[in-house]
Amino acid sequence: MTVQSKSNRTTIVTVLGIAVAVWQGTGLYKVRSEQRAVVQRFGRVVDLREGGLHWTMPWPMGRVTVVASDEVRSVQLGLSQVELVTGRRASDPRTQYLSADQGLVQMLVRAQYTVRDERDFLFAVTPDEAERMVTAAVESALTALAGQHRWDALLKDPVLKSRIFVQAREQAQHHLNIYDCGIRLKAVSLVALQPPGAVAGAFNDVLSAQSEANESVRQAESEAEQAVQTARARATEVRLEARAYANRQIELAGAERDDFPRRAAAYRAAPATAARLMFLESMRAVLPKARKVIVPTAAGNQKLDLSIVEP
Amino acid sequence: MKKRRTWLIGVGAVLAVIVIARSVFVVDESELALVVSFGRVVDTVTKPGLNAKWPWHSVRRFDGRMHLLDPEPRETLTGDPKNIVVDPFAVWRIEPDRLADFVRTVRDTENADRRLAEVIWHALTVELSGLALTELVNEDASKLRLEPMLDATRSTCMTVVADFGIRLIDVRLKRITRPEGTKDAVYREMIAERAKEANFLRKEGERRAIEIRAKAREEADKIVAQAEGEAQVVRGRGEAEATRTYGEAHAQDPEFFLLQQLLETYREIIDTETTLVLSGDSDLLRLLTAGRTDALPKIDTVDNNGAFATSQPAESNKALAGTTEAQPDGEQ
Repeated sequence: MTVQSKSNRTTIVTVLGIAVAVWQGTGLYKVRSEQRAVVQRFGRVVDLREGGLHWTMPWPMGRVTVVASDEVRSVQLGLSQVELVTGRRASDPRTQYLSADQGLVQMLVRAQYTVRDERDFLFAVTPDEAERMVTAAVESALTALAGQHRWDALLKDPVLKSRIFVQAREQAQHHLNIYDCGIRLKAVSLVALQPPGAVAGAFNDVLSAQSEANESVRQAESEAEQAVQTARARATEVRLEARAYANRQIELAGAERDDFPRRAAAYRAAPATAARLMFLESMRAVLPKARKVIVPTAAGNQKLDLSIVEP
Repeated sequence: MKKRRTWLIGVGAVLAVIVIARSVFVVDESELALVVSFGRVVDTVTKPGLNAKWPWHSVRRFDGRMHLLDPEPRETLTGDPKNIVVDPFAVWRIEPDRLADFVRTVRDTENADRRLAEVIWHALTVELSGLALTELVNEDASKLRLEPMLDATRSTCMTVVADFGIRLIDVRLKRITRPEGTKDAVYREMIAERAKEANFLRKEGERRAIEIRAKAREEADKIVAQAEGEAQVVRGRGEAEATRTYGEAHAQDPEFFLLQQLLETYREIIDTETTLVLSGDSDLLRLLTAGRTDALPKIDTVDNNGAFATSQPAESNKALAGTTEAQPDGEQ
């Protein structure tokens, strides 16, 4: 009897001991390096642990929540992913923003964020509201920014586009800090930015007008280039021709300078004969072309009525 | 005897556990709690952790976190007046120290959302009616009144809902757009504006093209003109040099040169239009008209006048004779 009760007691103590050990063992937890663990004791946050194996008081005194802090979370603004895929983006008012000149542009935007403060992220906001706060903060920032620029500038100016998204991130982060939601906005990025469907044609026409204008300017420039080149070629030609002409004149004169004394010398050898020969030669060349009236004597010549033959 | 003691201990232990369990309560990090004694609020617990109370008190827990209130967008009027659709949102939480007031006035979070939405819409409608649309959206940042309008809305709402035990953190506009019904007009205006711009761009392109062509033409003309000017100078110099050379050469025998030139001139001025009246007495034709060989001119005795006697260029002959007389040569 006593032996039995003693062994009973041993069994009870052993079982209780194992139970307590197992219970305490549930207080062990593992945190990966990209995670943080928020440790609560009786509901109050008492500790924040980084990667490794840790122990805390087990349930119901303690509680551990592990948050993947560095994981980049992404949220689509305005439309859900499903609506995006089914193509409702064209005219959905949830993607439209009013511009400074009271036009409308359609922006599809994503926001990426990580957890900055695990305690705030878990206990200052409900997790699904954290994402809605990101959406609201970014959208309000974009609304304010879109309202400061003309819609064609928003659509066309790449510098403005990137600046707007940097500013949107800064402004939205400023507000998220006020909301204590423990979120760090990594980026606000553009998925699509386009004019409303009804305006797309007119907008694209401006782009093609721009390229047409550029094209006609380019055309004119190339024609101008060509005209100038042609003119240069012509100028060179004119200069060369002139030089050739001048040279030719000088050459001819030079030849004459060399030749004339020879001819003059030949003439001087027998001037009368040479003159006569030259005269006859000229007459042979000249007279065949002209009409000729031959008057027999010098006396007859005086009485000739020239009026019938003069032109 | 021993059995009864064991029984009493058992009952006592159970009662003790119940009493202890009723005397402590845990408030989570995200919670606020009220300690209530038969419906009467006796304590507000704003610090998380383990708390004590009397066993007959009960605990009501509330969400102490930030809430996002996101009502449906609504159409309203600006001061212009223009129809706009605004989509506001608000962030709020229960003011921890005024949890009792919160419970008294709005009971719970959903009801608080509704009250808050009403207050915000009222304030927003009033504030927006005092602004033109160009004060909500404008390229000129100095004309924008959006932020001051939101600040005013926020502070108005804050004072109102403070009595509800609500701490309003922020009120902003997620979206400002035009109602669907006015969008066609908006699009039309956008299209007209673009058409104007496209037109301007095309015209501007043409204008620039014309300007470029005209400038090029001007430049080309200038280049050619300049070259022609230079060419003229070059030709002139060449001619001058040639003339000088000719002059130097011909000065050696002006009479022969003149003779040569004269004959050359005949060749040029006498053509098919010319009628020559020739004297039968001339040296050229004497043989033809007289038919006698003794009529041939004597070379040694020929005189210049006779040798070149033709009816027309008599003056040239005289000029030639004159020159000959002025510069006598070996013939005479």
